[in-house]
Amino acid sequence: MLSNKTKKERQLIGCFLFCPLLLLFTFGIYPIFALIEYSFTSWNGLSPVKTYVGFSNYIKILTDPVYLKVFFNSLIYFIAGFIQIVIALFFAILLSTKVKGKNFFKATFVFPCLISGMAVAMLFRLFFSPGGSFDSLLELIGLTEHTRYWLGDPRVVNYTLGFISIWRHTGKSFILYFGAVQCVPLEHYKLAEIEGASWWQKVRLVILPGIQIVLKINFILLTIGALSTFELPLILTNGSNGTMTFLLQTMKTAFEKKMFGLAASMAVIVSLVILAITAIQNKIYKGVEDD
Amino acid sequence: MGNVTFNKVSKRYETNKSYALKDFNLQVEDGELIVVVGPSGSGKSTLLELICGFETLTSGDILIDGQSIQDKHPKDRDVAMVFQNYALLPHLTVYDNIAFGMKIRKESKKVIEEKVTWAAKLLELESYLKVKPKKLSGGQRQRVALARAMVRKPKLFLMDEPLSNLDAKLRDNMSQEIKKLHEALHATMLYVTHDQIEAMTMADRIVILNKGEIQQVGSPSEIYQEPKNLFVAQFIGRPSISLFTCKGTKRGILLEEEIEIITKKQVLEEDRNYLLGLRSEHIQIVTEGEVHLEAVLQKVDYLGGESLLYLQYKNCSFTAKAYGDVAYKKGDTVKIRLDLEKAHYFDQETKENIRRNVT
Repeated sequence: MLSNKTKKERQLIGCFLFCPLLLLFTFGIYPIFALIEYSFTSWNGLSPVKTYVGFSNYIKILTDPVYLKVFFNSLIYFIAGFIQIVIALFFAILLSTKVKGKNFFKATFVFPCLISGMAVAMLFRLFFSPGGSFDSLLELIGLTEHTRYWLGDPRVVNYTLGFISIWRHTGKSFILYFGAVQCVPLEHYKLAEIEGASWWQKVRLVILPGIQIVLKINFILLTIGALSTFELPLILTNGSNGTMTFLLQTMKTAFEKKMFGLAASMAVIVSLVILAITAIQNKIYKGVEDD
Repeated sequence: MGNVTFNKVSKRYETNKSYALKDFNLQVEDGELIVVVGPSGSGKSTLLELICGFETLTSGDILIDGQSIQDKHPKDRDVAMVFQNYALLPHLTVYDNIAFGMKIRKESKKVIEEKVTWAAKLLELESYLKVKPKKLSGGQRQRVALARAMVRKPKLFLMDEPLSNLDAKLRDNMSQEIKKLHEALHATMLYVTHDQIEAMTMADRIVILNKGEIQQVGSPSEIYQEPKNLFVAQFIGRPSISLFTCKGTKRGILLEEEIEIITKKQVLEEDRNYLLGLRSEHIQIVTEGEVHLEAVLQKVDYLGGESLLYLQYKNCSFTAKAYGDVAYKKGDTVKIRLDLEKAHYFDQETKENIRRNVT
């Protein structure tokens, strides 16, 4: 009787698990291995023949300066992300004190990340278009000679994109930090106050150490975000004028140039890079905590 | 070290109609350990906030060594605080935690080291200086917090329920240690707690607060033996004081509407309602001699050297203390003698103890 019941139970569990597991394997696990397999071929995505080419895809990506440029672009997004952390942190701390109109400022910060990436991109395409709002603004304050093709000039376009990225993502970091700052025990502030700490000392000695876990997590997210920037350059410049990012390049290689094999190896590389960076950061952070 | 004067200190929060603290008058002498005790919401924490400068006074004044601290920044008030949850910074070692304030004030490395070593030695923390607070026990953490307060050599130590996060045994140890520390440093301390036993064992003087107002100030024995009103009598002492309703008569008192006890002189106003309060040690179970009432034994708490007997007479329940072994068991009817010499009489309306007026 008992074993019968357990058998039935097992069957039931099996039934429930079958569909999710099938989906997981078909769309989650199998593609990873397929991708690794493709990365060693020169497959074009359609042809039934997949010619094995060994490591030549990888060698090409890691030696050709055209393909390496994307890493430099990632660096710009990384720096933008860093600035974003500083801004978000500053306002999170500021808005944790008694400020008038606190909720208004909080809403203002968070608002940009509620808009869809597409809408943001459209908005800024207008804003930065020649003779657009930004140029008018510059004219207004007498900087007419500094206007340029913000979204066309290869010398500035990446910085423009970085700026938009800051505007768009600061809200997310802000929410994280704001929550974290609220969690620092009130007594720690009181202690610092009695001992005579200045504003900066309170930030440095109490708040920053108190929210270090959130800072670390945000740093990892930022690194991954910088490597996988995609929608902004796609919509605003379509990767032209040196605004190609790693993911955008991968997609274009696969679906426009029909070089699936090459694109697959790019995907493998970016996954490995992200994995490595996360592992390194984990290690560093762990060391700090065990101290 | 310093003396502290509270001069009609009052605080009312903007959002609240009633006072969190009202007309708080107190003179704390140099080197005294004052324990402020009261139930939650009595204004204890407000008092500390006011002294530290996290809140501003609504009226009145606080003086340390004769100087008003009202307009001073918290850091200039020369007070040190020990928090209930210790408030140790988790990322700093014990050494750095103790040195925290001195580093902020940019004292020289040599001075810092000297002071930390001195405090660590006094509190037996020497072997933990390089450890982070996470690895310490509750008692050790509290000692670190004490050390951090000590190295400042403040005019006034403030302690906000420092023992309430510790288990019972540690609490005993720590309260002794704080007391010892107080004597060694000859420090002026203001210690806030809701635990009346802590208050009784540690204080030079106890301040009893309720609803923002001082109920009584006095030494532990004064507070216990001469409670000024019903609140103090009930708040201090475990088991809590037993109460009987009573009325004044021509010849003495009428207990629980039916037992008349004749007294030598008339203590109570005739036909006025009172509550008679007696500590458990002044209620005795007797077999012969003068008997005031017979009660049913509800429960016996055996505590070793003594036992607490919970008794019921009609609607009135009360507690007696007996020493040695108790021969009675639950449900027994026992004869009770009340030690009326030690009784407190509280006016039903004003809740004040009228005994002081009589004697």
